[in-house]
Amino acid sequence: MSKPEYVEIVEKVFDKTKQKKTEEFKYIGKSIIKWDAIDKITGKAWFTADLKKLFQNAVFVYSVRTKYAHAWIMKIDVTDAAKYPGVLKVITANDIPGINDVGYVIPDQPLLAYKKVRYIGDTVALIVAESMENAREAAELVSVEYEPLEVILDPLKIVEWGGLREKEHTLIHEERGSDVVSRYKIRTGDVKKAFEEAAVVVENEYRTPMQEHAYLEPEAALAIPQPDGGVTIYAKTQCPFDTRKAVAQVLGLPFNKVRVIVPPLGGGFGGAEDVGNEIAAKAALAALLTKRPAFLVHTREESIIGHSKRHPMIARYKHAATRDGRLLAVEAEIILDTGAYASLGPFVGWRAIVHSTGPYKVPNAKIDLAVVYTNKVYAGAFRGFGNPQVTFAVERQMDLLAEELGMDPVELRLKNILRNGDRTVHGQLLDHGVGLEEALLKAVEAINWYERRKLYSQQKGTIRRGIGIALMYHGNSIGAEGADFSSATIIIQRDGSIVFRTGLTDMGQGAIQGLVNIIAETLGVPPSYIRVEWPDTASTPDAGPTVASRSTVMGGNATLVAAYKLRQRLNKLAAELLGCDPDNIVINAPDVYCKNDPRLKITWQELVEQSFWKGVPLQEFGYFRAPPAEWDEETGQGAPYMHYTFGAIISDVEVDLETGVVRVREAVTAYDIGRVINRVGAEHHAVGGYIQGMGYALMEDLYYAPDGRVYNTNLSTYHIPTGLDIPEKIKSIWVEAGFRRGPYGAKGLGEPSIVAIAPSIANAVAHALGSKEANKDINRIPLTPDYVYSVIKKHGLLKK
Amino acid sequence: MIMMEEKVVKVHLKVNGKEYELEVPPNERLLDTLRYRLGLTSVKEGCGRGECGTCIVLVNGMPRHSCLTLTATLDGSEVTTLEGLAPEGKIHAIQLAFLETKGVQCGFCTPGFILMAKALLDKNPDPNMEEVKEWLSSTLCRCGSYHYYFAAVKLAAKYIKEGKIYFDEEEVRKKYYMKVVGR
Amino acid sequence: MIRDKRIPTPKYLVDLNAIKKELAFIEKKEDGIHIGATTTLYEISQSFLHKDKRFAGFVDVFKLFGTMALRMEATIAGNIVSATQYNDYITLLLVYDAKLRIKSIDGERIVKLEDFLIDKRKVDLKPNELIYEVIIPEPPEKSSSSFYKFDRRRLLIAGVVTGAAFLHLEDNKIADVRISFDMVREKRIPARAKKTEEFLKGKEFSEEIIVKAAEEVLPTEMERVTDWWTTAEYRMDMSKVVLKRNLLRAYERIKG
Ligand SMILES: Cc1cc2nc3c(=O)[nH]c(=O)nc-3n(C[C@H](O)[C@H](O)[C@H](O)COP(=O)(O)OP(=O)(O)OC[C@H]3O[C@@H](n4cnc5c(N)ncnc54)[C@H](O)[C@@H]3O)c2cc1C
Ligand code: FES
Ligand code: FES
Repeated sequence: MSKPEYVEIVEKVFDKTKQKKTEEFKYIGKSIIKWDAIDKITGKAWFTADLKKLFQNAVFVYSVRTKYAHAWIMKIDVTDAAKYPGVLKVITANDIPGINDVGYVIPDQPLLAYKKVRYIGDTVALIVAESMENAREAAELVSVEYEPLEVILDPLKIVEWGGLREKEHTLIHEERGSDVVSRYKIRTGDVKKAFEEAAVVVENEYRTPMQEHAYLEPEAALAIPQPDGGVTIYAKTQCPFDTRKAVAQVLGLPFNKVRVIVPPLGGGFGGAEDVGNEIAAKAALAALLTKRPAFLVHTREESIIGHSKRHPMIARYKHAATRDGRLLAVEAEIILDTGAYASLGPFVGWRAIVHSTGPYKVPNAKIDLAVVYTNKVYAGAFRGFGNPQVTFAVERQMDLLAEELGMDPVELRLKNILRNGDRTVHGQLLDHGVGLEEALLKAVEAINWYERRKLYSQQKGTIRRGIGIALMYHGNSIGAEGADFSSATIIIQRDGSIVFRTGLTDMGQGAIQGLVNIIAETLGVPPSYIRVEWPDTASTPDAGPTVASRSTVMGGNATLVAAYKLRQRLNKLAAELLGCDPDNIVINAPDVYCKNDPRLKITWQELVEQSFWKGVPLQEFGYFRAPPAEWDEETGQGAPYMHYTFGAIISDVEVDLETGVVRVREAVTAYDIGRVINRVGAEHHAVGGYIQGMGYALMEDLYYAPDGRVYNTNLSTYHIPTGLDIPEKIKSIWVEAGFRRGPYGAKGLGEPSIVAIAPSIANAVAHALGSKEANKDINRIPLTPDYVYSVIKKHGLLKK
Repeated sequence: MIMMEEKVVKVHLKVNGKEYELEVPPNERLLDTLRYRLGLTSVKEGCGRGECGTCIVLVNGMPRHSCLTLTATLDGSEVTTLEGLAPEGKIHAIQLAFLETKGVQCGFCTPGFILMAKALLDKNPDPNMEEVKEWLSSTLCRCGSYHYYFAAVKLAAKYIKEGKIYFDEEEVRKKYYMKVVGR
Repeated sequence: MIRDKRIPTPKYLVDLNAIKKELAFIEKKEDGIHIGATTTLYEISQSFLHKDKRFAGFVDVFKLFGTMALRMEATIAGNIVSATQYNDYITLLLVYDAKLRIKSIDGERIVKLEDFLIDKRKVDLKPNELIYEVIIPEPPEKSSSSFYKFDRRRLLIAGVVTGAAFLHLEDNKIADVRISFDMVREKRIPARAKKTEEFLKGKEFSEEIIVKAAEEVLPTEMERVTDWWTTAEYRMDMSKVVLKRNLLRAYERIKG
């Protein structure tokens, strides 16, 4: 089979620019003011809820949520609520014209609960009223009869260790007959033999929390009914095309009658996927049923109980190694708690198992993973997508192993990391572009690892420093999760300005700027010629979801393909006009000239004008599809992702032994992202990802009452790092090992930037405590003061 | 004294230099008055409880959480939102500094940070880093732009000291819109 | 705040802004320091209180209170009337033996802060009364205070425990000491640890005696609770740490 043209283009551009230093590019890798920055510092940027001011007669939509986390619904009576002043309509499941389901991967999640409620955020009715106050007050009058069921919050009530068999329990999803959503495994080599022959074995149990995205913009949607019975929706969503599909399904409309437009997002981090579909569908229902624009905005409390979270993990890990520190085998059982609904849980579970042994050569492995339901808020996508959880366990294991072997953690890692030519635990050959060793060495050098490690090991006293390292790898894009494609459209206008359209969203991560840089570099025009359109299902091509760190690679490739084709046509025309070879054309807009004779030149605008008259089309659609991923369900062997981003993180912390309080003093991150395309965006991720990872490591978790209510539903009880919690310095280092199927060699960074932060901090805390016995107890995050203190107290470390 | 049973209360406000005679319900939050009555949507609602700082505005020059403030209590006050930081067509030095230090990610938190910076620099034109951190930590930033924002305040202080307070917005757009500003 | 359903919409809204100017003051008088009810925490921070080491605890509490923007809005009386465990100025003012001047159209009365607090969100204030000012007896020379609270992060915290201490030394002898915590027992409002105070009074100041007070005396009068945030055991242990740190810091401030 011959290679598709788009793959050839991407590879050709890579091969041609492989040797070029990033400094030598004109726009790639430069610090460029982001396309939306001026609108944002002036306060002019419109986020979804801001658009409400344009629709003065909009009605308000409010979700009436369940009082129980697990119960049968016997009866819903909305008569009184419907009569309340200002109420236009009370919507229940019966009013849904299409299919009452917004399940992301499997159809397990009704938009409006009618038979059963499964978590405290389930919606039983929608109030549509003239004002938010009316709607909220009327909500009190909806009367629902429930028959409460046992509330299950502990995943170990669903499955048990030693095979992860499902236990007898009250079924949460009785319609599915099982509360195990999905299972995955890896089987390679002879694990039994390896453990028998191993010189050292370390074993431990790990727990990670249910992290909340806490993006500062609460969810909002605004739906406007259209004359033809369709609906246009502005919504906070990361994936407009998925949202359109979900809304169309709920409304029973064809896709082309549902238009989803995405204003800038005030943060997403993976959280604005499912809930984007939910709120868009709720607003759209209200708009169609009342024939008025309908507006929905969540309070922080609704946001916290009503949108997906990061899956908590419980895992048991066993590592075996030789006396000289070579990894022999990994055996593990991993449980991911997906809460009340599957959401993206099945995919999160899959990504977790793929990364479950870390960026190391592991000849023998036996890993089992189960994703299970509980009555918690449902868990879905969150930056890292299953990888931060397993990386926490793996990187803690590596430090325990180093301690057991009496080796420096860096030395142990250097012995085992993946390098060019190695195979992953899945048997995937990494023949190029593995920059892990370089990242590791650069990070070690930047922070003076060996010196500090030694110095801190000799401390006494109450306040102690510690330094820790963690490595990571992260598969780019969605791999075997689904059809992995992206697309983009570039339209050169007759005045020479350019319109860029993609269905990928900018949620603050800045990926769109990376795509602009690719266009600018490829076409030879300044980025300022380009205008970025909002994602709009009616006018931007389906680019696949904005997830999985795929924008720069997948969107970048599609954009590159479009820009490359346009450039070919422009070169050809310019060559004709100027009388030199197409390969000889230099575009450095506004100038276009022949390289060998710069006097032969025209302006960009003239070239564009000539294209118009000569019939050279100046709009191009770019498409890219990743090579199909391979994955054997029985053995976990194959090539799950087309390539990996690598990273090394070092954290330097301070622990107060009397209180257990941990503060990060300094950090270094070193990532191999193939090629730095968007420097500002890359740095934002290195720093911002670190800060979010630090929150995950030290303070963030969602707490539940036994009845399934969430205790911390606001930002004073759900702690995220403030400006006073961040380390003085977070240094970012870039390794550019290249990737043949990435635009100009680039790989993704969105998710990788959080993956190894928590274990690097935990390893540093363990180092500060300086006790072999305590080391094993640093086995859960968040490392809250009370937990760290309990470890200190248990092992009598303060007195030592 | 304000009677909560009254349907509306008359309030005279000067917002971003413009005079308004408003009639608002006694329990209307300043946040809602600004966003939905006056269309000043730079004022954001991240929590509605004083925790996130995205709704911070200046009332008579002092920072105020508009989510914790009832409009009815502000009769005769002057309110400044990000829209009114500089005269029409201009950009304030603080805004320019936030642009140049390249910290803005999603930008939802930015208005709160900029207005807090304004309040600080009005009080203390030459704050040290500790003071900058203390004041600017009134707003949360989940994208993690704190370091950049702190640096921006120092830069803004420099501009203001040099007497550069307002910049022409058109020129700023020309000079900065997707322009290469560093390696 | 109005959105909080637990709080019924009031019938009247007394807008103190109208008298804000009149009641925002900090003055030194014969009988002590007078802080007007509507004085904001920020205004307090701009006053002489923050420059006098006898009031060092005011600087501590200020830096740990909410955020800077909140400190500019919150008034001293508002903090007191809120009357919860988390109202830090109550914890601090308790170690200064603060009093309140309360006024109504029927006259005025002075009540000790300690007596004013009845229980969580319950204070000795009639609907027609208003706090006019807080009065702090002027502390002697050779005295200082310290306030401490900490949590997972540095700002916007309730604190796993909060505590304040006021110390007055004569030479090296503890002439007077007052200790308060966010709660001591039963009621979830700030209170004094009086047994511990009694134990310390009159003794020579030393690290050993502080440790003894924290480890042996404080636990006899303190009960802590376990909730979803943390355990009673941790809170108890941290109360001891906070007591030690507060007394040591107050001591250093007097000496320094
Ligand atoms: C995000 C956040 C963080 C916070 N962090 C802290 C913290 O770290 N430490 C802390 O201690 N507190 C904290 N608080 C609570 C804070 O104490 C109160 O919000 C504030 O002190 C109250 O002051 P105010 O002037 O705003 O009072 P208001 O909210 O206006 O009033 C509170 C109550 O006091 C009454 N009142 C006010 N003045 C008088 C008077 N003169 N006479 C009689 N009654 C009066 C009011 O009627 C009302 O019932 C925090 C609050 C928020 C929202
Ligand atoms: S909305 Fe006012 S502080 Fe969050
Ligand atoms: S830039 Fe997104 S919250 Fe600050």
